[in-house]
Amino acid sequence: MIQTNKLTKVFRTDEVETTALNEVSFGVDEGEFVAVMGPSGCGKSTLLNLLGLLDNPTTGEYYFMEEKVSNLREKQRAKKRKSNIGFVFQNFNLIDELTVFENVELPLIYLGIKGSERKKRVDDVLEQMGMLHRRKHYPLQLSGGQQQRTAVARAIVARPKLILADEPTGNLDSAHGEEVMNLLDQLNQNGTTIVMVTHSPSDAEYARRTINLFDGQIVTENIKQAL
Amino acid sequence: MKTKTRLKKCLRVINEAMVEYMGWPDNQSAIGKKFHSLRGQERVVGVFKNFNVKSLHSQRKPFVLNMKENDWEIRYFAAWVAVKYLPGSEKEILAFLEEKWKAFAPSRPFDYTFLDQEIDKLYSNEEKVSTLSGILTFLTILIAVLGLFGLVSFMADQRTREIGIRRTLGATLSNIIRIITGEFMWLVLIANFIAWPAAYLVLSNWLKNFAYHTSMNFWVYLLSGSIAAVLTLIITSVKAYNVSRLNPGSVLKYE
Repeated sequence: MIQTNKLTKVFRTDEVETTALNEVSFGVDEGEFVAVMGPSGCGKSTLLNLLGLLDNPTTGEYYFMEEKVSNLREKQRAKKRKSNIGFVFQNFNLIDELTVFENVELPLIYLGIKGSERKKRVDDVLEQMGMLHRRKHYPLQLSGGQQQRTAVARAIVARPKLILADEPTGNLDSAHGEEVMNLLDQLNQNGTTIVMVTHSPSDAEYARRTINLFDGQIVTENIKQAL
Repeated sequence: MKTKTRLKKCLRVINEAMVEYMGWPDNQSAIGKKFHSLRGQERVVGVFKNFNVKSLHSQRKPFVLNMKENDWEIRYFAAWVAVKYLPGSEKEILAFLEEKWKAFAPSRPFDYTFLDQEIDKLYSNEEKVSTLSGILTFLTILIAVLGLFGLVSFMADQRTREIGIRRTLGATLSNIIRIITGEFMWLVLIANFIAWPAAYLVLSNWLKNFAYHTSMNFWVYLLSGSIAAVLTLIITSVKAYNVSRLNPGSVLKYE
């Protein structure tokens, strides 16, 4: 599903040039659950932004679903992104002025899905996440765990093939964190490919494979042995 | 005989407003009618159409023209003579008129004014108001545009995160522009509904100063509202475009 070849990202300001990713090459198969670990500033989030088509690499190639996407314009990236990729962020990134229902509905609006179909799909996914009873609440009225479950609902409502999660339990207590990880695990078992950036070794345990980054480069790769 | 002479001396031409004022049924019936003034009995020998004797600030009122028949009367009473001339020959005309005036009324000094300048003086206040309101309108629009730009910038900055989220979820540039401009267009609409009655009241009060004034057309309000809407659309679109172009990853990354 994902293949990168010498992916490099350099951030330039007037005075400083920072290489966030340095010739990273790796692949992710369909249905895999991959964790990306490493210390702060090692390039994890930059990698996730590139994989999520939120940004273009400085050099190198990125193939997504067997199509080269490393030099697409923002409009083309947005088109690929909205129909294929779901995002889960550490700070949930819900829109505070919209209700739970409206937040989850957003990706479907941008996909041009009709109102009645949207309502059905949002209600289905909220029920799956155990959030249906909170559909009319606003994010600030929810606990952290509920907010993240809403964010996961929003990430999967468009039935994406890939979910990118950036520290999904980073702002949650352990009980809520585990709840969210179980949800992601369940989605993966149902066939969704997941790439997750995390600091937490216990979260990484859910992944079948862990990639360790350091100073923008892959240093080790661990594959979990089946018990 | 005395009466006859007196009547001959007091021939009057009056305007239609005077006919109406005297309560005579029509212009024709007014001719030959007599009325009393401070000078004695007067006789109407003609009626002319109403014209504005003073500025347009005042209504056309009853007006009586004193007709002089004898040369000596004309020389004695005439203070002003109106002369119409072809433009571009003022110097020659003035020299000619001065010569004629000295012969006509040697005891009176020759003085002159130009009618167009006299008429201009009647409306000099309006001219000043027009210039001043033009400057003030420009300043008002400038301040409003600057304020609007500041407000849009502030709101767009406040909503950078939301815009980033929407972009991540697949919103196009036009989606974002529509959201931001839509909100401001509502504000412009509400502002117009408040401003229109206020402007109507102020303008109709001002126009009451003129006996003869233009009517206020609805399209003037519609035009000013449309200009405000177009300016808002341009400013919000530019700002929304700039914010939307930010990389959604970079917007959300440092939250």
